[in-house]
Amino acid sequence: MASLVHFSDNELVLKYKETGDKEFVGMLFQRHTHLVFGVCMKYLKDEENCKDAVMAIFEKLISDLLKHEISYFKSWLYTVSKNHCLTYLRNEGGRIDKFKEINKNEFEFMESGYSMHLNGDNEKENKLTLLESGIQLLNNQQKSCIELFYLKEMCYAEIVTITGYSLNEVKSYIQNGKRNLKNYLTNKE
Amino acid sequence: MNSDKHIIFNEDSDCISEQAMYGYLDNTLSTSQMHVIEKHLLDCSMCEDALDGLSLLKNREKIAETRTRIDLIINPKKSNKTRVYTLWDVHKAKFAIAASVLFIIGLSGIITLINREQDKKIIVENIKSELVVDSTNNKIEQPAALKDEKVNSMVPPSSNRAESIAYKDEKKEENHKHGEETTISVAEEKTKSNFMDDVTLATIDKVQVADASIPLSENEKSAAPIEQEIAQVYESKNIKTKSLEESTPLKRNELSSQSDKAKTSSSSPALNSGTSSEDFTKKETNTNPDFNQGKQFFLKEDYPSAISSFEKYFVNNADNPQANLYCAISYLKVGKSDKALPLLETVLKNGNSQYIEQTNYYKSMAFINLNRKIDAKALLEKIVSQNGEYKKKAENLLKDLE
Repeated sequence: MASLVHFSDNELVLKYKETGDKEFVGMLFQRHTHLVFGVCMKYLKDEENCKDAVMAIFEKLISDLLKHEISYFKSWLYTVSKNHCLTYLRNEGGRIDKFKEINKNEFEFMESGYSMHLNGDNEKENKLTLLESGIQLLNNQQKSCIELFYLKEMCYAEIVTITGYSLNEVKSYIQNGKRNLKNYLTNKE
Repeated sequence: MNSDKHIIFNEDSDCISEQAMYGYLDNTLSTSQMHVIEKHLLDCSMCEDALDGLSLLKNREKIAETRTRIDLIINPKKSNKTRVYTLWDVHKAKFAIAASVLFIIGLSGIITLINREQDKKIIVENIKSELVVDSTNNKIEQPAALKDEKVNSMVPPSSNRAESIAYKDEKKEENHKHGEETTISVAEEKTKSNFMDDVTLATIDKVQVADASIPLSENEKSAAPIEQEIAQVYESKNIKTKSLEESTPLKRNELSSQSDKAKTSSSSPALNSGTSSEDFTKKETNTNPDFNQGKQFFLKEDYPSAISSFEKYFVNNADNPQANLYCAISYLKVGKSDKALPLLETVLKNGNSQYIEQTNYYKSMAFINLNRKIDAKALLEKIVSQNGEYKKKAENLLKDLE
């Protein structure tokens, strides 16, 4: 089992599909347990429910991994986990509204709910350093936050101290500024 | 920055490690490490959601518990191995059972030895008193009310056996004279068993500590309330016996006749000057079959039958504090604390100061069983403030409650 530690996620998925040995899926899941637990906790807000949900997701994983073609395990796991929680909340009735309410408050500073994906983002991040001109086109708030975060590599807390914005504002300016820069880059290409 | 990434991300995954997430939430990371995490969070929805969720988590051990559960599903061999280890636990349990059986056997052996020694002492005392009687050439009758509980329980030594038989014959005649309904054999058996009953009751109370559902753990350190009560009665009887031995034959005759009167009229000042519980013990054990049956069942730990007998007894004697207390304890033993409570209230209403403290103590146990911890605590605090015999026990129970 110790040798499995050095297998990548995708290698473990392939091995499990080949052999059907639960040890591979076990290693895969153990590696992401804290993430699945965290996601469940965010949606369900109850530790005991979370434990049950994580176990249910794990059992689902054992069967579904054999059925589906999975190109990127982590994204797939995230979708499975989130869907499980949303289905649970929907079945509970009423609670889904609560969740929506919470999310509404949480993302009130975001200009849109567009979610970023990891795929290909690293490449785009490298281009950010070449897009100083694009940064100059951003509004002052986004510009200062983007500069401090990406160019000076400061963390949110430091940016909050320097700019005087709230933490949520800083997060929002960075996310929106980043999206605007991506659009700028796409248009230029 | 590379070293930061190495610390923050899982070795074989591109996700933030659990420890790094906790570090971020606890604000124990450097600003550069926090920046790396925040940069990742901007691009990774799963890590972002997970971090949000983990910030709500109060007990981080829950994740470890979940991992263990998953591990047991994945590796049933491991769990089987664990079960192999738990076989040792099974052995442990067997050892524990064997140890407790040995303990009970040992305890009963010790109690039997103590009983024998006490019997011997009483026999010696009896012989002495017989000798005193002989030396004064007064063929007095033994004071029935006090003596038939102890003296008849003794096996007379061979030298005095003839006298003892003669005494028993006299006793039989006396019983006929008083027109008692009970047969001689039953009376003899009863008188023989009465003293043993007291000691057996103490034994049972000690044994009950081991399996009682009510919290009696602290009772191991000191005798149970009923045991103490019986001990008090026994002690007072001893004092009377001794005083009888020391008194002149005339006085002994007087007391004997008084106790005989007490049997018929139950208005003897000599007896009434003692505690009422003594009165109940003597009168009820000799005359009321339901009370006696109830007590016998109680001693045999047949609590449902004891309850049934006492309930019959209550039809005409609802206020007897001793019967109420026995019955209440029986209800406690069968887990019906709700039924024990009114009986204990009756004892308290009776107002006999001798019973109040121990009744309150049992009442607090009933409250504990009924999950009325606040009431139990208040009552136990009251017992402690009264600074009586049950102070320490009450303090111990209070500690348990906390």
